Amino acid sequence: MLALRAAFVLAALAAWQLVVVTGAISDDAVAAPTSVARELPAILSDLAFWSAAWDTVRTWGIGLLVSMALAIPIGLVLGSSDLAYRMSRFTIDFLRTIPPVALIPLALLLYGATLQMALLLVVFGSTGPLLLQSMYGAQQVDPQLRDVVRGYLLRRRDVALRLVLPTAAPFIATGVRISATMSLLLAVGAEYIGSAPGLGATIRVYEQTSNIPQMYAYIVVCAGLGALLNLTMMRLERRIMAWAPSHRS
Amino acid sequence: MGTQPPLMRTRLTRHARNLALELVLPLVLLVLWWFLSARSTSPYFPPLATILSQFQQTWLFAHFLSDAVPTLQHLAVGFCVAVVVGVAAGIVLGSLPLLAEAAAPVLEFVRSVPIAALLPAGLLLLGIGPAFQIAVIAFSATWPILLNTLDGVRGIDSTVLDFARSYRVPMLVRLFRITIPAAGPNIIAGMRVAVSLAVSVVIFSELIGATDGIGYQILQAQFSFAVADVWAGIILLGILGYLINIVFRGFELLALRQHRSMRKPS
Repeated sequence: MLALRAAFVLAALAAWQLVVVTGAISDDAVAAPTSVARELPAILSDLAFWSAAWDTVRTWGIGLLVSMALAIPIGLVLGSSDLAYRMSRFTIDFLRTIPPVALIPLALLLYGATLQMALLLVVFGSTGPLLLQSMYGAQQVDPQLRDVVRGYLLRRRDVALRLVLPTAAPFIATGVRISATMSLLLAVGAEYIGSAPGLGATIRVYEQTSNIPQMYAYIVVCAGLGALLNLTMMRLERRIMAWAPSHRS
Repeated sequence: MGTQPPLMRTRLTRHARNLALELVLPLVLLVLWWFLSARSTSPYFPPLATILSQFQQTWLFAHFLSDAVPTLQHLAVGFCVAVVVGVAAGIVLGSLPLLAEAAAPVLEFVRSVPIAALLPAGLLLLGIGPAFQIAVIAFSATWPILLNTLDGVRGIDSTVLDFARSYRVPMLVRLFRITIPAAGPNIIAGMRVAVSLAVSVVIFSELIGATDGIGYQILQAQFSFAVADVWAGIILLGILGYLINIVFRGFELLALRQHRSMRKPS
C-alpha cells in the first residue's frame, strides 16, 4: 500500500511537471515542481520565512484560543436551556451566515494591516462552528440523567462539570477541529488580502513581483502547514477523546 | 390539571410563541444598535439609520442587478460544478477502493491547502473575471462533497452490491437507483459544508479578482472610506446567506424524505 501511495504521489507530481514543461500551462502562471523544490531549501533557511510562519501560527493560535474561550461556555449555557436556545437561534444563524471574509474591509478600516485585523477575522469566523457544536453537545444530555442528578441536589457546578461537559466533550472536540481549519484559512486569507504580517502576505508580495517559483514554494509550505494541522488535530482528538463512546472503534 | 384546550390551538400557540421567542433577541439587539449608535460620531460605527438608508440606496435596487446578481450567479455555477465533479469523483474513487487508498495522501494534502493560498495561483492562471471566480469556488467546494461521497459509497452494504451484480443490474440503473440514493445523506452532508465554504470563497474572489459583485462593492466602499456602505454590504451578505440556508434546508428535507421513504421496509 505504501508503495502504491508513493507511486500515486509521484504520478501526481509528474503530471504537474509535464503540464508546465510541455507549455500546456505557462510557467508565468504555474511553477514546475522541480523549480519549487529548488526554492524550498533557500526559503527554509531564510529567517524571514520563519518569522512569517510564526506570525501566521500566532494569529491562528490566539484566534483559536479566543474563540474557544468565547464559544464553549456560551454554547454550553445556551444548549442547556431550551428557552435560551430558542431565543438565540435566529441571531446565531444569521451571524453565522455572514462570510467572515466580508469583514476584511471593515477590519482593515478599523485596524489597518495588523495582527488585530487578522484576529478579528479569525475569531469571528471560528467562533460560529464551535458555538454550534457546543450547543448541540449540551443538548445531548439525557434528560432522565439530568433529573436524577438534580434530584440528588448536586450543586450546579457539579452538574456542569460532571454531566454537561463530559456529554458535550466529543462534539466540542469536533468543533475545535473544524474551527482550527477555519482559523488557518482565515489567518492566511487576512494576510493575503489585508496584508497582515504572515505567510499570506509573503505570497502576495511574490505574486506582485512575479517571483512565481518562490510564490509556489510558499503555497506548498502553507499546504503542508494545513495538512500538518489537520493531522495533529485529528490525532489529538482521538487521543483526548479515547474514553468517549463515539470515538471508540 | 385544567381542561385541555383543543390540540390545534395549542399547536398554533406553541408555534407562535416559539417564533416570538426567536425574534425577541434580534429585535432587542437591533433596537439597542439603533439607539446606541444614534449619536455616534465614530467614523467606523455610523448610526444604524445611516447604514440602513445607505443599504436602501445601494441595494434596493440600484446595485442589486449589477452586483448582487453576479455574486449569486457565480456562486450557483461554481457550486453546481462542484456537486457534479465531487459526486462523480467520489463515486469513481468509492468504487475503486485500491485507487482511493493510493490517492488518499494526495487528496488529504490538496484538501488541507488553505484556499486563500491557492487564490494567487488561480488568479495567475485565469486572470481577473468570472472564469477565475467560478473556478476557485468550484475547486474549494468540490473537496467536502468528494470526500463525503467517497465515505457514503464505501459504506454501502456489500450484500446489496453483490446482489446487484449477480442480477446483472445495468450500470446506469445501479448508479441512480443504488449508489447515489445510498450515499445520499453523505452527499448532502458534504454539500452543506460546501455551501458555506462556497459563500466565503465567492467573497474572497471578489475581494481580489473581480470587477463586480457584493464583495467588490464592499471593497470599493472601503477604498472611498464609505464606512456605512461597508456595513450595508455586510448586512446584505447576512440576509442573502440566511436565505441560501433556508433554500438549502428545503432541498435537504425534500431529498432526504425520498431517502427515508426508500428505506421504509416493504
